[in-house]
Amino acid sequence: MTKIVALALQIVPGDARPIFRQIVDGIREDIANGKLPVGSKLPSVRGLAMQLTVNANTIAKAYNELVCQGLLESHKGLGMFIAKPTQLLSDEAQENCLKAAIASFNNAVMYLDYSAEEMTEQLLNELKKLNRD
Amino acid sequence: MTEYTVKTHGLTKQFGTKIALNALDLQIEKGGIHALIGSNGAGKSTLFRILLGFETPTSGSSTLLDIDSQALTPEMRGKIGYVNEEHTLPNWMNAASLTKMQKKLYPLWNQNVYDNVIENFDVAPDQKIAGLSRGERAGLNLATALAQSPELLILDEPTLGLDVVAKQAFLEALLFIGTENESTIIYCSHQMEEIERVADSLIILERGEVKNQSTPDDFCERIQYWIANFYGKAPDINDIKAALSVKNIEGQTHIICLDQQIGYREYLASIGASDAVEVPINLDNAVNAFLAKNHKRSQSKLIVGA
Amino acid sequence: MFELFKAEFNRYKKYAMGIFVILMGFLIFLNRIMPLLEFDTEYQFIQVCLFGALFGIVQFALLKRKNSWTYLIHRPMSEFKIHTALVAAGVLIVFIAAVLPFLIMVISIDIVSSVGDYRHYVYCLNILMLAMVSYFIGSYVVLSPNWGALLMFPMVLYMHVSVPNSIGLSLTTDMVILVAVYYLSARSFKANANKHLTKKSEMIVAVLMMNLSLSVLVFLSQVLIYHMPLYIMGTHPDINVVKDSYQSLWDMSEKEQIRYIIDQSNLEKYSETEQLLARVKEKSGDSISASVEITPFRGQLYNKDLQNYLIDAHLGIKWTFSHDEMLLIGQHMKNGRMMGYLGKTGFVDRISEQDRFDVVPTFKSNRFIKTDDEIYFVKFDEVKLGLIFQLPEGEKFMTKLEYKLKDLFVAVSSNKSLYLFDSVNFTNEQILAVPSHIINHPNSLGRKYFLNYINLTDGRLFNYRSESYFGINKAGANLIVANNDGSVDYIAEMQFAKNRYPDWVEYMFYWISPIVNGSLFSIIDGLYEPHDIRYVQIDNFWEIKLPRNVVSLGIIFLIFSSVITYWMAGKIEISKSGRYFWTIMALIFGLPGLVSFFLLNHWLEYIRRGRVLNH
Repeated sequence: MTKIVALALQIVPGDARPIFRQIVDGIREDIANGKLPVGSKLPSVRGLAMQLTVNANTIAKAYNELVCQGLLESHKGLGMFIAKPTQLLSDEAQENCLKAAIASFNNAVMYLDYSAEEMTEQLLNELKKLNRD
Repeated sequence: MTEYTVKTHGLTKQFGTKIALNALDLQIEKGGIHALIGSNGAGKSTLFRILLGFETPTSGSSTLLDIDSQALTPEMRGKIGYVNEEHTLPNWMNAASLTKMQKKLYPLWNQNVYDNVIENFDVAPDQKIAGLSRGERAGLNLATALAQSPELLILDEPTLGLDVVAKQAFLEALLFIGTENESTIIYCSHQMEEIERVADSLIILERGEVKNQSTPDDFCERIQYWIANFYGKAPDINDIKAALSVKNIEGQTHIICLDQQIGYREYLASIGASDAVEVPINLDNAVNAFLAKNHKRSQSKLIVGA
Repeated sequence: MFELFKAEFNRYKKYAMGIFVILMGFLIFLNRIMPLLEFDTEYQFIQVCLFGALFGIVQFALLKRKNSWTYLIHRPMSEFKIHTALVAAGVLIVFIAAVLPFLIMVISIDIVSSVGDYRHYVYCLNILMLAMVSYFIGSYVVLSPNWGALLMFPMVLYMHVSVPNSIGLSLTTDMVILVAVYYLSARSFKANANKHLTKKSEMIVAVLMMNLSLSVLVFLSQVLIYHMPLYIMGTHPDINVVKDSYQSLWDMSEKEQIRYIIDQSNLEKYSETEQLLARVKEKSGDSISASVEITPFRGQLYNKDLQNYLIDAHLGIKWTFSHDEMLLIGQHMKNGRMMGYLGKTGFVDRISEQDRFDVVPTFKSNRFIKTDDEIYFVKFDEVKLGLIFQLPEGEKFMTKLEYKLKDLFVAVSSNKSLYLFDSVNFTNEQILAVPSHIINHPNSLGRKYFLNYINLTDGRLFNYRSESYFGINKAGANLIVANNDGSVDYIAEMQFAKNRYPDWVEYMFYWISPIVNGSLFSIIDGLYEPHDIRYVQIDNFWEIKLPRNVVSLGIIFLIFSSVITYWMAGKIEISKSGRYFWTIMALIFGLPGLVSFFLLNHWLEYIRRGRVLNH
C-alpha cells in the first residue's frame, strides 16, 4: 500500500480566498516545489477534513477542482494520487496562464539583487523538478 | 426525494406591531451543518423558539423531523439537542451530577464524545457550574449536548466567548458528530471564519425572510468586489446597479455588488468608470456587505415611512 | 423524574434549612413567653401563605426566564412529569421551611402536655394546605400569561376565615381548592407559557377561582362610580342622612329615637309615650351582643378555639378542654403533674362516660362553662361544679354570656329569646337560676341586630334594630320594656320607609351576578356556614324579594355581559364552541364572567395585530 503523504496545509482565517481555493493553491504549490511527487497518495477527504477542521464537502470540492485541472487522479477505492502532468487547457488559456505567472514572477523579483542569469539558472533547476524534459 | 429536518410554511410571527418572521418558507435538508446568520433581530431566535414549540406562530406552520413543532413529544425532544446562547445550565449543580442526570435522561448518551470534548476545557467533575467561566460553561454545555447523539442539533451562538483552543475543540466535535452520527446541525453564529470552515450551507435571514440558502462558497461567488476610478464624482449607491456597498477610499471607488458575474466591468465603464479591477472577497466581507445593504434599506424605508 | 426532583430540591435546600432554623428559634422563643398553642395564630397564617406564595413565584419565575425555560422544557420528559418533579420539590421546601418547625414544636409540646389532641395535627395539615394553595397559586401567577391569576390569592383568605361547622367540611373545602389550583398550575405548565389555557374544564376552574375576587372588585367599583362622586359633590347619604332611613336614628337623641319609633310603629298605637319618656334615665344604657357566637365544634382547628381552658390560680392548675376526651383535664402548671378531670358531673379522678360533654363548651370569666343549652358554674375553692341554667327543649344558645356588672344583670340569647337574670342570684351553684325576664327576639338572630338598652326608673327599655330587620335591606327597629315586676311590654315595632342608598347600590352584590353570587353562592354559603351571618342565610334566602328595578338591572347586565363577550369573542381567534362557551359563562357569571373572559383570552394581542394588518 502506498503511504499517505503529509500535507503541510494551513487555513488562514481572514484570507480573501475561499477555503477550498486555499487548499487548491496549497496543493498546487507543494506539487510545484516538489514536496508532492507524482504518484504520492493524498489523505482521504474525511481525513483532511479532520486535520484542517474543515467541512468534508469543501475538501471534496478542492480535490475535484484539482482533478479537473489534471493535477490529481482518483483511483477508485484506493484514494487520491498526484497525477502525471497533462495538459487540459486550450492554447489561449495556456498562454494566458504562463503570461500571468511570468508577470507575478517579475513582480516578485523586481527589486532583488540577482542578475537575470542567476535567476534563470535557479528557475531552470526548479522547472526540472517538475519532471520537465 | 430529499428529506428535510426543518420545514416551515408561510411562518409568520408578529409581536405587537413588530414582525419577527414574515411568511418564512424554509427547508433544511437532512444531514450536514447549516449555518444560520442574520443581523440582530433578523428573527433567528424567534425561529428557533417557534421550531421548538416555545412560541406559537401568528400564522403558518413548521415541522421538525416531520413533526409539527407545536406538538413535540418527549421522545422527539430527546432526539433534538438545543443549546442557547447563554449556555443555560443548572448553576447549583456540579458537572458530575449534571452529566449523571443527563445520562439517565438520554438513552443514546455517548461518553466518548463527552470525554473528547470536555478534555479541551478545564472543567473538574466536582466543580460547581456557577463557578465556571463562560468558556468552560460553554464547553460543558456543548459536551453534554453533543454526547446526547442528537438527530438534530440546534445551536444558538455556541462559540461566543470561547478562546481559540476551545473553539477548535468545538468545531472538531461538531464535524465529528456531523459525519459520524449523520446528525443535522443548525447553527447560528456571527463567526464567519467558522462558518466558512464547517458549514455545508449558509442560510441568511433578514427581517424574517430567507435571503440566501447555498454553500458558503456559492454565496461568496454571488458577491463581487470591484475597485474603479470614476471621472469626477462617483455615482451614489442607489445609482449603481446591484451595489451592496460603495466606499470612497483615496479617490478610488470600492464597490461590492451582488450577482454580477458577467459584464459588470462594461457596465461600470458605461456609468463613467475609467478603469475597474475585480479583487477577491472573503466570506466575512461578503456577508457584511450583504447584511449592511439590507440594514440601510430598512432604515431608509423607515424614514420614508415616517 | 426523581433526578430532576433531587436537582430542584438541592437548589433550595440550604435556604429552606436556614429558614427552618430561624423559625424554630422564633417558635422556641414564643413558647417561652407563653404556651405556643395559646398564641393567636394569625401571624402563622400570614407566614405560611406569604412563604408559599413567594416561593411559588420565585421558583417558577427563575425557571421561566427565557433560556432557563427552554433548557428545562426541552428534554425527553413530558411536561407533566417535569411539573410533578418541580412541584414535589417545591412542596417539600415549603413544608420544611414553613410547617415543619411548628410541627416539631407541637409534637414536643404534646409529649409533655396532658391534652395532646389530634386536632393540633389537623391544624398542621391545615397550614400545610394553606401553604400549598398559596404555592400553587404563586406558580400559576408566573405560568399564566397575565397577572389575572393574582385574583386567586383571596381564595387562601377564604379558606382561612370561612367557618364551616365540621372539620370534615373544612378540610374538604381546602382539598377542593388545593386540587383546583394544582390543576391550574399543572395545566399551565406547557412549552409555550404565553398561551392561555384552552380546555373548557381548565377555564371553568380558573373562572371559579377568580370569581370571588372579581365579584368583590366589581362590587367595590361602586366606590368609584357612586360614593366618591357623591362625597365630592357633598350629596352623599352618609353626610346628608336620608330622612326616614335607618341612619336617621343616628342624628337623634335617645328620647327622640323612642318617640320616633313609637310614632312609626306598626303595632297598636302606644298611648303612654310621655310617661315612658319620663321614666327614661338618659345616657345610662349600653348594648348587649346580639351577634351569633361562633362556637367551637369537636375537632375544630385549635387556633379557632384558643380560650379552651380554665385556671385554678390558687392551686396552680390549668384545666384544658380536650377535644379527644370531651372534658377538661387538669395539669399542674409548675410541675406538669396530672391533676384529674373536670366533666359534666364535676371533678373526678377517673373518666366515665357520663362525665363527657356532648358538645365543646365555651368558657366565661374563668367560672362559667356554657354548652349548647346549659350553663355550669365552677367553684375551684370548693372543688364544685353546678348546673345553674338549662334552656327549654328545642332552644340553643346563640350569643355569648354577658355579665353587666354596672347594671347588675346577666344576659344571654337563645335562638328564640333573650334571657335576663339578676346577677346576684345567678352564681349560686346550689340552685337553678330563674330568669328575671324572657324577651322574644323579633326574628332569627342572623339578621344582624344591634341590641341596646336604656335603664328606666322601674325597669329597662330594650331596642332591637337592624338594617335587615324585615329581610335583606328592609331596616326596622322595635322597643320592648322589661318592667321590674317581671312583666314585658312589646311597645313598638317599625319599618323604615326609606333606604340610605338607592336600590342599585344596596343590591349591587345581586345584580352584578344574579345567578352565581345572587343565588347559587348564597344557597351554598347558607348550607356551608350556618353560623355565618355575613351573607344571606339559607332560611331566609327564599325570602329575598328583590325590588323590580334590581331584577331588571340584573337581567340587563346579564344580557350586556354575554353580548359583549359574544361580540368580542368574534373578534379574536377562538373556536365556534369557544365563543358559545364564553357567552354562556358570561350569562352565568354576569359581570365577573365578562371580566374573566378578558383575563383568560388573548384579545389584546389580536386587537393590536388587527390594527397593524388593517393599516
